[in-house]
Amino acid sequence: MKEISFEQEPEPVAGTARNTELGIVTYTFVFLFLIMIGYLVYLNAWKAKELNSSAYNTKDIANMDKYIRGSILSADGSVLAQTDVTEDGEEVRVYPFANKFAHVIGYSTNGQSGLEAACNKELLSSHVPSLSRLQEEDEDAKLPGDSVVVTLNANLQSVAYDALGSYNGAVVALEPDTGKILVMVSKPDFDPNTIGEMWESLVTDNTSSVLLNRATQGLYPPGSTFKILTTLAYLRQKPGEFRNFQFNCTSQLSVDDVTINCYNNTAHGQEDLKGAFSHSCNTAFAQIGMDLDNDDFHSLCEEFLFNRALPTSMQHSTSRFSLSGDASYGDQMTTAIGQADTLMTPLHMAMIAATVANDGIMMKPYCVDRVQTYDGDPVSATKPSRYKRLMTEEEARILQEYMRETVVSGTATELSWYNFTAAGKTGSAEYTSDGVAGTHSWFVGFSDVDDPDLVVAVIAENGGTGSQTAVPIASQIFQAYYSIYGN
Amino acid sequence: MMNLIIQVSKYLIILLMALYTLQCFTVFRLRDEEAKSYLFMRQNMLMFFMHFVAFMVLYLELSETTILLFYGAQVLYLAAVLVLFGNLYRRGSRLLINNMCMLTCVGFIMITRLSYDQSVKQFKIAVISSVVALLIPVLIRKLRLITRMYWAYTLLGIGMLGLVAIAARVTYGAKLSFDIGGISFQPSEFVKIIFVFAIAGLLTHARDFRRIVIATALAAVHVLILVISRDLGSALIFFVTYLVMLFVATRNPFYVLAGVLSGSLAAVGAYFLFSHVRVRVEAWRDPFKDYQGDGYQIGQSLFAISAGSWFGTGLCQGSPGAIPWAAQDMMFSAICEELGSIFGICLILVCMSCFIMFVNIAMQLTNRYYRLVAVGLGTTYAVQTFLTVGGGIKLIPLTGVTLPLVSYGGSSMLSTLIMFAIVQGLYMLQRDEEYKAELKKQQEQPHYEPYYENGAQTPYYGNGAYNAEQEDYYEEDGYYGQNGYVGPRYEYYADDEPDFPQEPYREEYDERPPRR
Repeated sequence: MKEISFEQEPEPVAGTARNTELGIVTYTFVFLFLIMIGYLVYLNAWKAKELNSSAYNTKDIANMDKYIRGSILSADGSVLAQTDVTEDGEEVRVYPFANKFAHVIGYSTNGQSGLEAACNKELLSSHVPSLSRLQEEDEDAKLPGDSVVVTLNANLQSVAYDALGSYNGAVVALEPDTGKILVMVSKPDFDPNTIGEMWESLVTDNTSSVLLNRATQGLYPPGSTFKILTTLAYLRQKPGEFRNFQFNCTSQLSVDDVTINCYNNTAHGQEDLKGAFSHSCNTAFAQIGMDLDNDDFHSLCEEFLFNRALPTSMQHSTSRFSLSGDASYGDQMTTAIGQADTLMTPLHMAMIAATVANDGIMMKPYCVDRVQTYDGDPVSATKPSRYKRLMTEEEARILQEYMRETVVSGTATELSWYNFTAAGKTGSAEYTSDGVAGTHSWFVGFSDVDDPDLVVAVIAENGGTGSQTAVPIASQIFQAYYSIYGN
Repeated sequence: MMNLIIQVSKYLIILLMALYTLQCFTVFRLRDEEAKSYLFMRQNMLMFFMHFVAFMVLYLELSETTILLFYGAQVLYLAAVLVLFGNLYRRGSRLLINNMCMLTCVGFIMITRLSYDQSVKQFKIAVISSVVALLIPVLIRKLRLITRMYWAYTLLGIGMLGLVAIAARVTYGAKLSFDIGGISFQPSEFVKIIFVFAIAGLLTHARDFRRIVIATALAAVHVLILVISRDLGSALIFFVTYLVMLFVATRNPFYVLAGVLSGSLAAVGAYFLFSHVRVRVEAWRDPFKDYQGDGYQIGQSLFAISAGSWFGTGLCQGSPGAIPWAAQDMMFSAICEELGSIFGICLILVCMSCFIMFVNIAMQLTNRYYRLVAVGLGTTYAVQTFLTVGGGIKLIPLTGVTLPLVSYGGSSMLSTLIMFAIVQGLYMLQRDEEYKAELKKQQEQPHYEPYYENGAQTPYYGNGAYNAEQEDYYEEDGYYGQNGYVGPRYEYYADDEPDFPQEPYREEYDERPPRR
C-alpha cells in the first residue's frame, strides 16, 4: 500500500492549462445532457401523436374512469355511435345504424377497431373549459368526452349498403378535391351492438373474415380497372405514338404459350387507344403491356402507392404490384390487364380515380372531419391536404376523356341514363379460390366530368362483369348523391 | 373545485420548477456574495412551495390524513438537511446542496404518488443516508488514510462485484443485490465510489505507462464482471468513468480515443456474444416488435411521456404505474407523464447543474488525487443520469439504472448522498491543506506590512498593482466564484478544527492574500 502524503508537494499546476481537460469533460457531458433534452423535445413535438394513437397504447383505459366515451356523428348529423348510461350507472355503447357502419366506425368492446380505435383519445378526453365544468357537475361525476364528427354521410352510406345487397365486397366514395370519405361499406358485416355476444363465433370463423374492413384491407385483383394505370404508363412512355395507336382486335392474342382473350370472346375489330380503353379490350392492352418498359411501368405503379403505405392513418393493407425487368411476355400481358400478381384495396382504387378526377393531384383521404365538445364547441378540425401531384393536367385530362368514353359508348353506358355526367372504368377480375374460378365485379368512376364531386369505387365479390353488377351499384350511389346535394 | 385546483397546481408546479432551474444557472452571473445568498434562499423557498403544492394535490387525491403527517416529516427533513449541510460545509457549494434537496424532494413527491408504502421506506432510508453523509466530511478529515488505500479498494471492489456475479449466475441475472437484515443492498452502487477512489489513487502519479496498464487492467476486470452479471448499466458507468479519469490524469486524448474504440469493439462483441445485450438493443430499435415481451417496458415509457405531453396530466391523473419498474428505472418517464415534459427538461437541467458543480469543485482542487476523485464521482453521476433518462426516452438502449436521488432505491440513495458529501468533504480537506501550506510559507517569509505608494488608497505589495475593484481577479484561470469563494481564503470557524497546530487567527487573513 502506498501512501500519497500531501507533504510530498502539491502537483505544480500551471495556471490556465490545468483546467483545460476538465473543461473538455464538462462540455462533453453538457452536450450529452442537451442531446437528451433535444430528444425529449423531438418525442413530444413529432412522435407523441403517433405514440398516442398506437394500437398498443392502453393509456386511455385510465381515462375511462373519468370520461363517458364521446359520440361519433356523421357529416349529416346522425349519431353513429354513442354511449348511453343506464340508471344504475352502467355504460352501453350504442350503434344506431347497426351493421351499416360496422367496419369503418368499428367497435369498442372486446378491443377496438375502426374509428373507435383511431379516435380513442379524442373520445376519452374533454375540452369543456374547466370553469364551466365547475358550475355544472358534482365532484365525482364523469364528464362527457368530446364528440368526433366524421366525413361519412349516413344517407349515402345507407344507399350504398343497400345497393351492394347480398354481395360480399366493398364500396368507397370520396370527394376527389378534398379526400373526404363519404361512404365506406364492407360486407360481410356484423352488428357492433352485439359484438360482445358474437365475439366467439366471429373470431373463430376463419373463412369469411367478417371483422376485416374490405374497403381498406381487402386485397383484390384489379382486373380491367388497372388499365387506367397501364394507359397512363403508355401515355408517358410513348408520348408521340399513343394518338396514332391502332389495334385490330380478333378477340384473342397468343404469345408464347399464353393466350389473352377479350371478355366473352368479343372481337372489337380495328380500334384506337380510346376505343380499346372504353371497350376494355384485353388483347389491345396485352399488346401495350408488351410494348412497355417493365422497370418504368413498375416505378410508375410504386409512385401510385403500390407496395407502399397509403397516406392515411387508417389501418389498411398495402397494394401489391410486381413486374421484373426481364418478365416474360405472358407476365407483361397479364399484368397490363390487371390480372397477374397485382392486388389492390378498394380505397386505393378510389384514390387513383380521384387523382384522375382531381386533374392529377392526389389528396390524402380522411374520415375525421372535426372534433367538438359534447355540446358542440369546436375543438379541432381536419383540413384537406394534398399528397402529391402524380400526373400532369394533360395526362389527367386524357384519362378523364377515356373514362368518359367508357360511360358514353363503352362498358358503363348505364351511367349515361341519368342527369349527371359520369366517367369511369369497369373491371371483371378473374380469380380462383379453393379451385373455384369466379369473377369479381369492379367499377371505379367519378361524376361530374367537368367538375368532379364524387368518386365511387365498387367491388362485388364474384359479381360477374363490372357492367352487370358494380355499375348499377355505383349508379345508385351517384343518384343518391345528387338527390342529396343537388347537381 | 378539485378539478380546478388540480389543473392550476399542475402549471404552478411547472412554473416553480422552471424558476428554480433558471436560478441554477443565473447564479453564475452573480458576483455579489449577498445576492447569491438570497438567490439560494429563493431556491429553497421555491422548492418548499412546490413541495407544498404537490402534497396538497396528493392529499386531495388520496385523501389520507397520514399524507399530511408524512408531508410534515418531509419538510422537517429537507429543512434539517439544508441547515445541517449548509453549516457543516459552510464554504461548500450551496447550489449543490440545494440541488440535492430538490432532487430528493421531486423523488418524494413522485414515489408518494406511485406507492405510499415505498415512499415511507424511501424516506427512512433518506434520513439514515443523510446522517451517514453528514459524517463523511468529518471522517475524511480525521481519517485521511482511508482516501489513500487504493489497493485495498480495488480488491474490495472486485471482491464485492465478484460475489454479485456469482449470485447473479445462480439466479440467471435476476439478483444484483443482497439482503442484509431485510434491507436490500446493491453492492455495485457502492463499488462505484470505491472504484473511483482506487482509480484516482492509481492514476495520480501515472507518469509511467506501466501504471496506466495496471489501472486499465483493473478497470477492465470491474467492467467485465459487471457485463457477465448482466448489469450493463453499471458496466457502462464504470467504463466511461475510467476513461474520463484517465483523460483528466494524463491529458492524453489518444488514450480516450483508444478507449472509445476498444469500448465500441467490445460493445459490438458483447452484442453478438451475450443474448441479454442483444435483447436490449432489439427492444431499443423497435419496442413494438416484441411488445408483449422485451419491448414492453420501453413501450410503456414512451406512451407515458407522450400521454403527459408538455404539461403533464397532473399528479394522480395519469397512469405511470403501468410502466414496469416505474419507481426505480423509469422514474423519469413517470415524472414526464404526470408533471409534464417541461418539468422533465428542468429536471435534466438540474442534474446537469449538479454535474457542473462537481467539476467546478474539481477545478478548484489543486491536489491531483482529490481532483481525480471529484471528477470521477461527477462522471458516475452524469453517466448514470444519461443512461436512465436516455434509456427511458429511447435515445439509447435501456440499461436499468436509477435516477440518482429521485428514483426509489435505498442503495442508490445512500451511495449518491455519500458521493455528494465526499465531493464537498474533499473541498474542505483541500482548504485544510492550503491553510497548512500557507502557514508554512508565512513562517518562512515575514509578513509585509502594506505600504501606500504615492499616497494611493490601495496598498501595494510590490508585485503589480493590487486593484481592489478587480473582483474577479482569481477567476482568470477558469475558477467560478464558488459561492462567494473567489480565491483561497483562510478563515476558520470554531467548529471545524484543523488537525494540526493552529496559528493564532490574524485579521489579515480575511483580507486578500498577497500576490506571489
